Amino acid sequence: MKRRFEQLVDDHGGRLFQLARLMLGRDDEAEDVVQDTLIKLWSHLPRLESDEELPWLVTCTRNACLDLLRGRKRRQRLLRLVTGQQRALAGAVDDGPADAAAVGERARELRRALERMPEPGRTLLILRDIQDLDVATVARTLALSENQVKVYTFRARRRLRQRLEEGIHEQVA
Amino acid sequence: MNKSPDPFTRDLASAERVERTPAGRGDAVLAADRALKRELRTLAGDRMPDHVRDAVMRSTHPQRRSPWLLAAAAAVMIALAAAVVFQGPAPSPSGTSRGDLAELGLALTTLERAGRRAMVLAGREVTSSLRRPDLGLAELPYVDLVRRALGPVPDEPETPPQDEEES
Repeated sequence: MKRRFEQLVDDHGGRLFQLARLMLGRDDEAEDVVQDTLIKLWSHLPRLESDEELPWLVTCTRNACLDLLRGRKRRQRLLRLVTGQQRALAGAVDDGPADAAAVGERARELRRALERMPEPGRTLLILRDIQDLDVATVARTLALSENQVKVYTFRARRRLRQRLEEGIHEQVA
Repeated sequence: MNKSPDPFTRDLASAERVERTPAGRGDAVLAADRALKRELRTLAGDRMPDHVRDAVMRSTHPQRRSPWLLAAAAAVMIALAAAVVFQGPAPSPSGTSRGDLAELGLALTTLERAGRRAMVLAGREVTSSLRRPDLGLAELPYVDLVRRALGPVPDEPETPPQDEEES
């Protein structure tokens, strides 16, 4: 079981970290989420079939991220109530990984736009377009039909594109 | 009359066209979708930091001591215990040697033997001078048996002490 666990950590650790990082926009929180998920995996592993491993890992990571995001939203609402300043809200959002300076401006823009996408579109874009996970696995992970996965991903991508274009127009204006 | 497809079916067809149509073909909107998809793909490739992996492994697989190490530790403990058991009594902190202890033992035995001998001699000397109380045993039948049971009968006839005679 130890070998199987190590194999899963090595095969999917990066994927989970990226999912958490893109959803949360913060490396430290993403690390905590992935660490907790993998520790939970160790205790769940005996009960997991081999084809359930990745969906379980992605679901667990995603749920942990969504919990954190909900908590963050609550804090932001509170902050807005206390300060009454919209600028404070903008300042509370972390710009992302520490090595952000090394990443191109366009990549940063994409990450920021992704972070602000609603669910399940954000997760679909990360799993399908960024991580190139197959439709069947994504469907099982998110409890959707394969056609739903295709359509919702298509719609989320189009929405993301519109947001990015709006952002560019705002900058130009 | 052709009925227009519902939004879901229409979007499904578009999604499949984005997936299947080669780059540079199709209408401009689908080409833009495809370009974004390609762009998103460039964000892939994050690696899980090594310290996260290490922390996970530490939490799920606590470091176990090697069985060889445990065996070596057990062997050292057994050797120590054997050395302590077979070494005998440790020398006292005052520096008394085993020879000194033997001499002391001999001295105590000698003292004890001499003391016993002195007691026997003294008892023999004193017994003859002791006056036995007259219990009126002479009138009892089987008096000899009773006397023997009560104690030794002095060989010499009982004589009163000298000072009593004088007084």
